[in-house]
Amino acid sequence: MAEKLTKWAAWGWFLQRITAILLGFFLIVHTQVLHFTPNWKLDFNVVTQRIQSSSLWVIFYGLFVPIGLFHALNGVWQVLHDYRPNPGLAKSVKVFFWIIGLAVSVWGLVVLSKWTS
Amino acid sequence: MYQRKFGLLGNYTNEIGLNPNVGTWSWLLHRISGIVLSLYIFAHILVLSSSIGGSESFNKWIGTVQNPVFHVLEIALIGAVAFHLLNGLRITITDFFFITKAHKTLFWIAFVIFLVVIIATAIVFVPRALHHTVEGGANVIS
Repeated sequence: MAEKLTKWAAWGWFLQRITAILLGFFLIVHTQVLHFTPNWKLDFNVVTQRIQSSSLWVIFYGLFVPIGLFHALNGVWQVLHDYRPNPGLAKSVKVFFWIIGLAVSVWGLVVLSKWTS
Repeated sequence: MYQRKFGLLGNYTNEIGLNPNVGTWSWLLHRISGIVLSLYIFAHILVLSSSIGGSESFNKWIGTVQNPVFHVLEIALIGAVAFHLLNGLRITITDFFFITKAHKTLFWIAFVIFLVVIIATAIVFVPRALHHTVEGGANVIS
């Protein structure tokens, strides 16, 4: 049991760093394209034109949202884990975070699909 | 046990009291910025969800956040992102390349880059906030 927990913690540590590197790239591109541009006033058509200009944008945001959510929830989980919650509570929080992460990721893809159709 | 004894804030203030160096401050700020950004990502997806209601619904929501106050808050947001990103990169480099001894130097390099980002962001966003004020409307979408 302890070995299983250690293995999971190691994966959590490793994936937090890998997702951080990916998010660095996503955030720089996202911020540059949306905010550091002369055409910074956003509306539905502006977003639609950008996303429909290349399928790479769909892939970009299709990855950005779940990776961002994983990094956020795994990070909060690591903060909570420092307070050594009892195993039952820890498991419940972990399951809750996975459900929230997966549900919001799917929801994000549904929202993204509004701009692709 | 240590954490339970001192509680959430007590633990953090005690940690800073015991180790008042850049490593502890960056650890604390990384956690605070991380929690703030985690909450923000959900709020951001919530606002973008207005697109489900069509272009009118989305434009109404996005119009509410395109005003001087939010442009100033965007500077703070980019500041939080920049700090978390640069400090996270510092942690990753330190971990992956086993250069713990250089962590303080890396922190100051990251901090200088952070200041450059903040200044560049203010140069871009402050005129936007003033632009809205000059035009006299919060929902200036051309």
